Amino acid sequence: MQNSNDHIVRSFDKELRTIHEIIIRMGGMAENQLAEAVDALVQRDSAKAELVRAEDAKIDLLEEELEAAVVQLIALRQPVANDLRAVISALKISSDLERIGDYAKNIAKRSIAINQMPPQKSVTSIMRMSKLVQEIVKDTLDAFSHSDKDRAIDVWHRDEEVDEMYTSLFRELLTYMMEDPRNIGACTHMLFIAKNIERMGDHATNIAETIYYLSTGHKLEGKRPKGDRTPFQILSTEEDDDDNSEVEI
Amino acid sequence: MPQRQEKYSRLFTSSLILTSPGIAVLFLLVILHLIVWQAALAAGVIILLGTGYILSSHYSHVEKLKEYITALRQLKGKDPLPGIPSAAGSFLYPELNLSLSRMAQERQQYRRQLEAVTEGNEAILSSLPDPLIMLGKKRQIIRGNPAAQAIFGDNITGRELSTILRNPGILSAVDSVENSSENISRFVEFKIHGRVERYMLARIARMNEQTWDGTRVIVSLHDQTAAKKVDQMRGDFIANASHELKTPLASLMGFIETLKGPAKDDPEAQQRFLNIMQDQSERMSHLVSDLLSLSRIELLEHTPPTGITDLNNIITKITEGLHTQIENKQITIRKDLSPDLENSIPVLGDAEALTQLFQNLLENAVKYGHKGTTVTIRGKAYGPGSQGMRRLGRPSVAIAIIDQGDGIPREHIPRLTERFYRVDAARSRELGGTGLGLAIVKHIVNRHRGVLTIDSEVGRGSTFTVYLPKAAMSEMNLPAWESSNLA
Repeated sequence: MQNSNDHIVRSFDKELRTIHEIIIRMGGMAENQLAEAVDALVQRDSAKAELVRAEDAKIDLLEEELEAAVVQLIALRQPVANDLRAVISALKISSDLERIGDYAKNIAKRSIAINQMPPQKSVTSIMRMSKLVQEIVKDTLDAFSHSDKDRAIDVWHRDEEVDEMYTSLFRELLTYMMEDPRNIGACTHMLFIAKNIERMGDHATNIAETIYYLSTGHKLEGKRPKGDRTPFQILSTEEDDDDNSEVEI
Repeated sequence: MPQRQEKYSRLFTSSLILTSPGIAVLFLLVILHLIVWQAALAAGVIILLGTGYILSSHYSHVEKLKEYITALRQLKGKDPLPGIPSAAGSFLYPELNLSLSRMAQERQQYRRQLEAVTEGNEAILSSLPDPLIMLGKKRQIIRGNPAAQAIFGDNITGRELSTILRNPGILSAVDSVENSSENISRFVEFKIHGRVERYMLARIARMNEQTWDGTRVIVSLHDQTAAKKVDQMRGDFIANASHELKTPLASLMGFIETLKGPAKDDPEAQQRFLNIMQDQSERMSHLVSDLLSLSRIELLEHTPPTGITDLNNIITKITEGLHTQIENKQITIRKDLSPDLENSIPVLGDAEALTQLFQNLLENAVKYGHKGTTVTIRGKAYGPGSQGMRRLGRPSVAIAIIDQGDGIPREHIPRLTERFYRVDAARSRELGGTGLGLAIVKHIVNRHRGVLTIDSEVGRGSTFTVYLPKAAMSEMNLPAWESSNLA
């Protein structure tokens, strides 16, 4: 009797661990995809961009694998309490990671188009922004693999910087477009790339929220930091806002 | 007590058995009336006692030998060898004791040699600068050498590799190496992302046979960050420097041309032009020295400093050094340190780099602060559980430099630390800025694994806050050379 009980618990643990491991694999891939996509853009390397596009399918496959594992686990084990939280969180995190992968793929696709045009100055700004997001994604995944809720809170607060950066980039790109209409094609792609990167930051923030929920059982309190002001951006008028901001560089 | 009883009964039975043929012969002689039974009884008792005596001496010898061997068995490491048993003498076999102790000595010697060899191997492993990770079945980490622990943390043993290295290239390489039938090794180049990027080359090799601790695959990492950085910096340097040096150079050339031509005989104009030329060349030399120090800092960025430095000392020295500028602008420097930091601010850091960091920040504060205002230096320590602690993941010190100047518009803040990024290019040049000051600050902060936050309000002023890892008070006893560095 005792033995069979042990066995059931152990295989349950094993299944949970498999799910955890799939998430970490997905995270590693998404992280890598972002780095490679931006590298392809900065180095104007279309071959690398193609590779990133092809690689995205693997993340999707992993997501399917995870979904199957989760469904099976729920059906067979009917998890409760923190096991249930772990399973539900895994599902949420995987869909966020899958989206991050999709955005990376989109960046790669656009970089192929941009490579047909003359080099753009704004690439360096995109690179800086992507580094920031890369850091956030990394810290989020580290927080997940160490179940470190403090780090998750920190990441959650840092999304604001990405939004600030996006606002600044938005202005910069608009200026380039006004300077020379021939830039509009490439700059529009850049604008979408910047938006994609900013969305990745948002997904990382979502994951951070999920990690917090996973380890505490509560939702993260307080208003989600918001720094994206582009919806209110008008070029010709001077902005005169004097609310202070804190940005971590 | 029962042991002793057992001893005696053993002695008795064995003597009885040994003497039984003699006694049987005596018995026979008595039956055949060849000797009288009294004499036979006396002879029997004598034989029995004699044999008993010999046997008891033999048994005590064997007993001592047994104790000796047990003592040898339980010998650990460098314990001294137990003395040769002499109490019972060497009644039966004189050389037995000697040969046994010789064997023990040899055994001990082999053991020491083996220990020396394993210790040597262990020392080689731990002194290797490159991280090594030993993997068992299913990518489970058996152990890592100290270099690996320094990068990935102390508690990596028993975890799965992907919890510390997520890179898909590595994971798939490890799987393919582990499952291959031959001994192959593979190389994977990858990046560890984060505030400071690291470029790594991993060599994944399979062991011929599983080792005693279950190691099947060895992952050795080689840090290539420095080499990659040099490459990257060369490009950056050329791009930045040529662009920034072009402007003063162009004006220098223009003036030289004027001095050779139209202003040849105009001493007054010559004097004026030469002054401008001096300014321009000074700017160029500033720029070059800033660029050089920036590239030096970037090279060091991935090796965090380990020394302990007192920030209070540094800040006092800098404010003394800025005396003239502070007087000229009638600026008051106010120190606002929390009580625990009043005497000293111990941080983990490199004194020279931190001097440059706060020099740049304080110079900026004095430069951009309005005339007659106050520059505040606010210091605070963050213990476990607070916001500052969360930022760095360890106890930290936050030093804020607060000026009362024009402030920086919000949209510029995220880009302030970009090299050559200027909010107002003309003004920065007029004040003698190179556009590199904050870039240098940021790289120094990164090297210390700290955080820089910028907080500004247009019309009121700006706050630059540096979070640095706090050193424990007990570590403050600086060695002599370190304190002289501060001076």
